[in-house]
Order: sequence, then C-alpha cells, then structure tokens
Amino acid sequence: MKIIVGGVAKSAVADALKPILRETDSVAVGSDMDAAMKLRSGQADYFLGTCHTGAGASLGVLVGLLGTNKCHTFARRVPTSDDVTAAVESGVQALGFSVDQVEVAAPTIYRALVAHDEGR
Amino acid sequence: MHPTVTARLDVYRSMDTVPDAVVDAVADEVDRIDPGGALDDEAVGSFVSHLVSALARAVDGDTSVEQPVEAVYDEVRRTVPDADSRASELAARVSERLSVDVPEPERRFVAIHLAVIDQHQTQHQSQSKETS
Repeated sequence: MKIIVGGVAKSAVADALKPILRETDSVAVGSDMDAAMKLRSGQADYFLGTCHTGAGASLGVLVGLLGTNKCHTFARRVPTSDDVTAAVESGVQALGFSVDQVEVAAPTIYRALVAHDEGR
Repeated sequence: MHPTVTARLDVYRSMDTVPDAVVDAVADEVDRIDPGGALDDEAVGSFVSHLVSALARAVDGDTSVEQPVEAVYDEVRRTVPDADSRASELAARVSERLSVDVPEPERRFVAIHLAVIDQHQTQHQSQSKETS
C-alpha cells in the first residue's frame, strides 16, 4: 500500500507509521492537492489527513477533488478498526482525524487498512 | 497571492458546499497576511482549509467546535503574543462580512494558524536575506 499523509500533523503521522509498516508499504508526506492526483491515478492508495479539529480541513480540498463518497473524517474521535473497515469497504480513500489523536488513531487506521488489504 | 494558494481556493470555489462569499473572505484574509504573495500553499494551505471549513460551517449555522488543546494555545500566546489579537480582528472582519458568529474555539484555532504562518514568514524572510 502507498499512503500519503498530510495536514498539520503530517510529520507526526509519518513518524507514527514508519516503525510499523510492512515491507511492501510506504508512507510519504505530501499535500492534499498532490494526494488527489496520485489517488486518482493509482500512484497512491490512501491519504491520511490531520487538522486541529479532525473535521473538514483534515481532508482539505480532497472532498472537492475526489468527491464526498471517497472521503471520511473521524473528527476528534479515535476510530475503531471496524470504523475504518466500514469506510474503506465503501470506497473511501481519504481519512481525516484530529492532531491530538495522532498517536493512537494513526496506527489504528493503518492496521485496519492492512487487515482490509489482506482480506481479513 | 501565490499561485499554489490560488489553486487551493479555486478548488473550494468549485465545491457546491462552500459559498463563494466564504472563499472570497478567506482570499482577502490571505492577501492581508501576505500582500506580496510570497507564501505558498505549504505555508498557508492549512490556514486556508481550516478557515474555509470553519466559515462554511458557520454560514450553515453550525458553530459546534471543541476548544483547541490548551497547551498548544497557551504556547501560541506565549511565543506569538499578538496572534491572539490578530485572530480577534480577523474573526470580527469575517463575522461582519458574512453575518456569522465566529465562536471562541474557532478564534483560538485561527490564532494557532496565524502563529504557524508567522514562522513560515520568518523563515521565508531569512532565506530571502541569505540569497540577496
């Protein structure tokens, strides 16, 4: 899986994911604008975005560029694996959450993406 | 305005869920902060996205937003003392322009974003001096 991380806590999210990545996965820091192009072209699989509230700004312009059906924010809530699975199974590629939940939310989201990728 | 910032605003302008008046108001605030258009999307993109989202919610009558993390806001007040007053002035301007209430938590988030932009401006000015 190729994951792009963006938003106000992009470096923190990348740092939280790098130690737990599978060998076949990668995480790159980028912007929501770059991510839109890469998600559309298949150069990336998911975008994880952060903002102070975890609401709309965490996904920036992705709602406009990808469409609402490909975007989901967890706001300030820490998502469960089931939350993430439900989102990606419905076609979501851009997930947003709050900066103050990075340490817990980022690994939880990644592990759920892995489980989904492995068909578990 | 830096073209990368214009590009971001143009995307918001194309969205049915974001009123043009909100985009115009945010664009004017960016021009006020950076009249020379030196700051790119990396520097002000988060501020733009946050303010557009916040004002679009406010226009929609949704003012429900939690306070920012106290430690972060306190750090801003300590390190960039005028960010608070500038955020208040910004909130007053957009409130009057759009006829919306800007709740206190949103004003605090704006202060945080203005402090971050200040860091980018300082960095940009230092780099400009080094290359001149």
